Amino acid sequence: MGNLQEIRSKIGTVRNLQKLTRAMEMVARSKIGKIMMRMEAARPFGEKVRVIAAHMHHARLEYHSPYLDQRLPMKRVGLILVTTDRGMCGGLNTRLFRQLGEHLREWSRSGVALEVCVIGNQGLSFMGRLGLPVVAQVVGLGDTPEMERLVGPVDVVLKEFREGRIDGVFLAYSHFVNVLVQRPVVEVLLPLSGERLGAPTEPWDYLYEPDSATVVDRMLRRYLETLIWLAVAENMASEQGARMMAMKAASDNAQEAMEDLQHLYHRSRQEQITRELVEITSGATATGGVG
Amino acid sequence: MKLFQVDIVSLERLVFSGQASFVVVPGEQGDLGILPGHAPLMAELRPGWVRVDQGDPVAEEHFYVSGGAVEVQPKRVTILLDFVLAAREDQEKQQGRENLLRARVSALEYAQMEAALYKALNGLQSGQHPLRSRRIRGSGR
Repeated sequence: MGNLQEIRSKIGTVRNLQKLTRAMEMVARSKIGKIMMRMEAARPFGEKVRVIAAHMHHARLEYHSPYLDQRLPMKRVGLILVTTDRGMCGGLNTRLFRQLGEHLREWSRSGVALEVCVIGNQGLSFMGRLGLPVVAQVVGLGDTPEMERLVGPVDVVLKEFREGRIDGVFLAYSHFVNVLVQRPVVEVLLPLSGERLGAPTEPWDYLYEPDSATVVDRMLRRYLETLIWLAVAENMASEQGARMMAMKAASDNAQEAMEDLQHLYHRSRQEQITRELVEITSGATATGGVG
Repeated sequence: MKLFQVDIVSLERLVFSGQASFVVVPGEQGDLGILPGHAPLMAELRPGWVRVDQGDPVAEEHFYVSGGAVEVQPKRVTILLDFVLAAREDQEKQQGRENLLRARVSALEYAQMEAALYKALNGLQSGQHPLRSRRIRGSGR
């Protein structure tokens, strides 16, 4: 008797879980669309900033911006690590950490010191576990990449580079290929390379106000901030994509488990009926009802 | 009347795109009036008002900018905004606040769902797997 009830309550539990995972899957699905719209909306701005920066870089070769400064070998590097705030998104962060681990090992082997700017709770606890110095952090961004909240912490690292205290800055995030595929990326953000900016198709120079150095530096900074913003936005899209798939898998598993339990329930019920029948008939036989 | 293309873009969206005959932007060292055929210019902006004249004296647009940069080419002016607050955005903002409220409620629900899932996950890890206990029972036949 207890057995049947137990199975029934388990079926209920699994069904409730499945409701949750289904709902989370739906939420992720709708959020992906919103984030992709944001990324699309940011494209004209990003492209414009890149083109202007490329023009200025090309035209002002005599001015050497601190953002372009190559300082080799790198003795101290900055890292901007973009992760998600929440878990429940498959192995997204784990894959990024694994990829990052190779760099971290390499740096520690060659005695390179590290300063980290973390975006997202998961990265913060990862850095805490490793005991690496976190110089700035942003957590709880939610589902909107807000530039207002990013510029401050990110500038901590950019400033370190600008003022020559670190020799390079790396950017780590999950690149959004599509809903099914997200790829961990660890790339060099600073020093900026001319190749990354791209060469202008028809070069020209500008008049500058207040002066070329100020304008070039600010535009390059704007470009860097846009790159970081895009990384954050991509990471958010990746998060939702990964979560959607993870929750879909969980829902499917729950479905399977439920069917198994359902089977078991029917079989046990049948067994119980049979047993009761046997008991009744044998009882009747023993009391001499037959013969 | 000579016109040129004006685009005002921020990271969030295209704020304005259209033809204009005259534009005034708040340059860092003073306001800049830009007419068609201006020499290529890059200038940083201070917080202030951007005025876009669209040829017709009635058709004049004003935008408040809190900083950014302007790129001027002879036939095109692009204003890059770091953060934007356009005067006519008030209504949208109101809307935005309502959306935010709605989003917050669903965020709470979301957190509850997440908490329930973690609880279930804990249950699984501590051995209360609904299927595992079934197997143990079932193996006795």
